Amino acid sequence: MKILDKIIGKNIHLNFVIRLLFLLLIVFILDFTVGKTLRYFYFKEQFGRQYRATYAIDKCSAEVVVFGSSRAYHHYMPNIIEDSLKQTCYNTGSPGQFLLFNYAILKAVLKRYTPKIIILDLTANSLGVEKLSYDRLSFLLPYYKDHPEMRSVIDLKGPYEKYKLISSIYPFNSELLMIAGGNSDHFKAKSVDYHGYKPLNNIWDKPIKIQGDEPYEIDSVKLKILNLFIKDCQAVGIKLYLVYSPTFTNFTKIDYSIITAKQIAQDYNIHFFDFSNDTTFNNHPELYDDKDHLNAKGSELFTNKFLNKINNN
Amino acid sequence: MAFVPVYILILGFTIIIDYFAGIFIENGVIKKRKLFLIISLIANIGILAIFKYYNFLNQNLTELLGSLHTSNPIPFLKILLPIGLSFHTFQAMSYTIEVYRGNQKAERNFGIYSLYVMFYPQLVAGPIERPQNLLHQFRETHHFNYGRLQQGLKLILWGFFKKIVIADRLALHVNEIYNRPLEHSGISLLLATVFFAFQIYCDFSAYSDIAIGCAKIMGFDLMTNFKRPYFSTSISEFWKRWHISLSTWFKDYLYISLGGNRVSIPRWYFNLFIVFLISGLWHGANWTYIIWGALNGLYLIFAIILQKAKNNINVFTGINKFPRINLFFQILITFMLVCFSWIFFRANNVSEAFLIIKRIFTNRGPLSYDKDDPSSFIFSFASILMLFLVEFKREFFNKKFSFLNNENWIINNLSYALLIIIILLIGVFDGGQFIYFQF
Repeated sequence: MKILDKIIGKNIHLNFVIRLLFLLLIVFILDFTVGKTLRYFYFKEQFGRQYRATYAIDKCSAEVVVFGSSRAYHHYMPNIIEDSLKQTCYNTGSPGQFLLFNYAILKAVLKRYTPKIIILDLTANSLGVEKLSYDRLSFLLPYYKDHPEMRSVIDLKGPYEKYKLISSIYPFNSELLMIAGGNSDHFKAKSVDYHGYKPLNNIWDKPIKIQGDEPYEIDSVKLKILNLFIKDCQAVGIKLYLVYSPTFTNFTKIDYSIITAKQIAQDYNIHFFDFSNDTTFNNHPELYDDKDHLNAKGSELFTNKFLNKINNN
Repeated sequence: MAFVPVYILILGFTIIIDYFAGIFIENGVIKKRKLFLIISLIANIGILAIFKYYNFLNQNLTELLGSLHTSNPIPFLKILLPIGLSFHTFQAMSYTIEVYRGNQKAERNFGIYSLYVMFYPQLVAGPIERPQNLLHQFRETHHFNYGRLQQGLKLILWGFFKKIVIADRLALHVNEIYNRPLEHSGISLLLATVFFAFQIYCDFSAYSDIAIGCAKIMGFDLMTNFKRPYFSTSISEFWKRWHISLSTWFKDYLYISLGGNRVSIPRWYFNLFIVFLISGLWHGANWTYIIWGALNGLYLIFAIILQKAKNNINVFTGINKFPRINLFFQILITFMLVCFSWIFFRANNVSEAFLIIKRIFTNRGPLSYDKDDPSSFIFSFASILMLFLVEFKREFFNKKFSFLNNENWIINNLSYALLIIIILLIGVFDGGQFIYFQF
């Protein structure tokens, strides 16, 4: 290196360019190596949130598929659905993820096979204008490379994602520990799920939340995505159910996203089951883990009640 | 955030006023010089008052009249606070004051004066420059310099590291806890307060580093704004290391104008208190900031009052014979006092601040973190540890081996490459990272 220093030392332009190229080369090598290693271990996971997404996207072949957020994840018990409908079921609900995420997963699922029934669990404000749902599409960046069908949704995250994805590490940003956990048996017991469903065991003891928001601005992109979700399902003959599962909230006015989604469901002639003010759940905090999520007892009751509605229709 | 192009006229207005005020102050007879200074100060403070404090004062008036069952007839203004207004009005004021004091010649070139106020690297978040340091640099010829480019880029990269890896990561946790203090335990609130201390330091000092780095690349030297403040051994030292450009602004233009410490003792205490009270108000139009400022003023006053007692305790306990242990405790106590004041700075309102303090001391619930995915929580600690190691080394072993400023350019480049990889690996790039608390 001293020889190199001697050769380039006198020419400040060359000196700078070589040092800069050296820095870029190291960054490129490190980025490539670390990124590839993370990719390898990401897709080698056997349990956990990331594995559940990979399973839904690449492997799931269930006849009944549940879509939604953490509320879907903790509310729909696939074993009860399987027993009742005599069909296999998988719950793809993912904490902190909403309609955009659900639609990206749906596109990956439909590319491989056609489920018979799809349940889409919606949340309050799921169609409202907010940025988080778009930002959280970063969870799907590891699939961008191998799943062109999902790209149109992931690209909604921002106009520069394609360029950011030049980095091999970027798709796995902040996932390092989750990847390590998903490959370690130590965390297996904690991450266990039942066909995608995870029960909660706390008992809520706080007073019911009162909510009655005025109509708010609806996000036109999300509205379009909900329409596409329905159209894509109907195009291949899937029976689709839209659901607002229980929350420990007393709605003095129905949430505007739910009103909008109900209207859309009516337009497409599909069922919308609204449990927002269902007294079976609203008067019973013991059925909840927290104000937004049912516990195991509550989810069992809800799954059965929901199946009754399906069977009656 | 909104972009309102017409707001540039506000900046234009103060630039014109201050530009001519500077010339008139320099040319005027003594009485008129003072008049022009007052006109300049009224214009700057007036704009700040309208945009930043009008609605706050009106809100307080409304509440006061409401408690007397009377309605407030004064309307609220539908205005946005222009970004960086507090910074560039203070920078503009320092110009007219310095011209008035005879320390700075009035700038005749309108373009150069405008550049002084609007120099973009530090327009939005400082450092709040002084005319003596910055104005002459606009007249000098700047040649492209690889050394400066390298130094500037390094500062910018370190700034991005502090902002993206540390501040934004800690913000995820702090925001969740501080926005719902009733749902979190005392230990969670305490930890969130410590996290906030590092969040605000990294956030703010990162902007300064990026500003100083950008300016350096273009050939300009801006003043240092932060000097590892959490290694301060007293509150007084903390304010010599924290937001230096603002602290010295208040010292030079307010504290000394009030008489500083060359007055009676009660007046000295009053000077200290009022300076920090106004400093608090400068940070934001909210009672939380005012209390934060007042608290820091009280810290300084009590530090002076208790100085003798402190010396006696040191002698009595014999701790002064163990300088390292003494240093450690002084740093720890100062940090704890600073953290306590940050509760008011970060809390959404005063009542929540007191609620948080109460819960910290009385609530014994479990520590809140995302139990399904503790990554963010772990990254928060890891990022603070990385910062601590770098700052500890710089504070106590500055001349010893350095990775980031190594004379060997290969080690140097490897260190910076690693910094970039860490940013890519655990930086927070948008709201995609989130903490999922279950209550």
